[in-house]
Amino acid sequence: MELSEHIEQVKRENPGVRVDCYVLFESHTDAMQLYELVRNAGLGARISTTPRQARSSCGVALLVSCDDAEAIHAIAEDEHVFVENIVALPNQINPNRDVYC
Amino acid sequence: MAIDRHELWGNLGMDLETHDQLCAVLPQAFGDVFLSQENRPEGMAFWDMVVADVHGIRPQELVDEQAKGRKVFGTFCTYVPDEVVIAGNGIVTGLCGGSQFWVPDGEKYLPADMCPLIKASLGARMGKTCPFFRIVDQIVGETTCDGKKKMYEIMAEDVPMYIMNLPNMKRPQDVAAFADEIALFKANVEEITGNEITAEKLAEAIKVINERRKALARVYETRKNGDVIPISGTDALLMMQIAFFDDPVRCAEMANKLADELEQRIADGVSVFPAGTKRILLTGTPLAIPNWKLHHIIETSGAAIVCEENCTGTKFFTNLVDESQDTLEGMYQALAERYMKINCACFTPNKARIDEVLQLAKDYKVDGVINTNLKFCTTFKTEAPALEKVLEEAGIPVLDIETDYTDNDAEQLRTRIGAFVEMLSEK
Repeated sequence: MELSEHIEQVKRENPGVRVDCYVLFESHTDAMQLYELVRNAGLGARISTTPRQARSSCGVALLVSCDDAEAIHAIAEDEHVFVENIVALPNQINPNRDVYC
Repeated sequence: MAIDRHELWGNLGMDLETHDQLCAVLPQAFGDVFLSQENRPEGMAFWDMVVADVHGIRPQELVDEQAKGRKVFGTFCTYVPDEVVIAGNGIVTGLCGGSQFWVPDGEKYLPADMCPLIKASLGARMGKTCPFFRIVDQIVGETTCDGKKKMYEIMAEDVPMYIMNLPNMKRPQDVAAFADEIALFKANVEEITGNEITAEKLAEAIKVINERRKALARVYETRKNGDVIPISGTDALLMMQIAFFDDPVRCAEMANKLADELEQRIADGVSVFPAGTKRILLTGTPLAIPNWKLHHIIETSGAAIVCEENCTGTKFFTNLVDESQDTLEGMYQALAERYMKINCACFTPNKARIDEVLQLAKDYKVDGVINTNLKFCTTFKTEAPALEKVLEEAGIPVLDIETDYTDNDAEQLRTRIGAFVEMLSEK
């Protein structure tokens, strides 16, 4: 499935909920390299843990706006940074949940 | 496929199935606590990366260094002089102990009415669910509290332990005794690493750790600004928590980079909290990673933490070791003098802590103090009334909180902290 199609599908399945995109990597060095490139390109990105809903193993991911996901994927391809996957998920963040480690 | 850490963890003899349960909850907690914040400093990216793969990136580095022949020393406490280990070309790492996840395994060996930090530490080792506890060649304990001392006896049956005898008074003869203790530790490090520690090597290590202290202090210095709060307390706490685990040179580099940005934020008037947000000094027991509960609750209740007076705060970096000594004996004394200035509740008397908290409250221009105590930490609990009396006499409102690692008092804490912040707003 194309990335844009995947994002639209997740949005359709979660009406009224913000949908975020997580860029997944094989290694943290790829993640940090793309983070720098994306920030230098003036796009938003935040270092994140890999959500369990996106992949069963932990690791470093980038949390980005799905509006920028295609552009970020293009930067990764142009700069030969290996991206394992880009996954759209309904909002995973809830500061009032009060569930800690 | 992503790098699978299971091979690393399996080789370390970890309980993979149980450890996966911890891996499953970390992303959600990290997102709720850190990614819910707005306008975080760019310099937090490094610290976020470390915690995002906290049981992968640094443990792999440690294992790689062990393969080259270096030895890893695990420590619990700010009183163990990292300088000695560094001088022996060893590596110091913090150990797991900040999550309720590890407490039940600790309670298999320890009484339930013991502080969660101690129970979690033993549980993380015995339950085989912390890579740092599996990697270490030796663990270095210290005689700071009775609970830890007795816990070490149990842990010593499972892993090589070395205990430093920390005097519990601060007379000149106590400082001299700790200098002797550092000399003994030097011999232990030489034995474990096989490397001789010369005066030149120890002098260089003292500089390395002093540079880390200066860098962390620079970040804290920016939090004294009364108009701009350039970093949340939660982010500053994360930096401090990771400082216990990271390579000290890299840690100093990253803390300095963060401080550069925070200083620029002050110049530009960039604050992470609205003007008028109440400023809190948090004092008391340590907050080992990933214990973010209290910081998160306070900072989502209308207040900002601008200083932590605890082992995962100012105690870790305040006071430098004198760099002018050129003999080993002189350096042992200089190290002892610096470390014995840490004002832990294990000392008697400990009035210096009260004086320090009062001074920090003024320096960081706080509106109120929250004095927190991990349940069953008798020493900090006992000196709380004396501390709070002095603060109240100085006109500084104070809230006393006792908590542990569980989530089930979160709502009660929100109510109490919310009321405290509201009271501050009415002053």
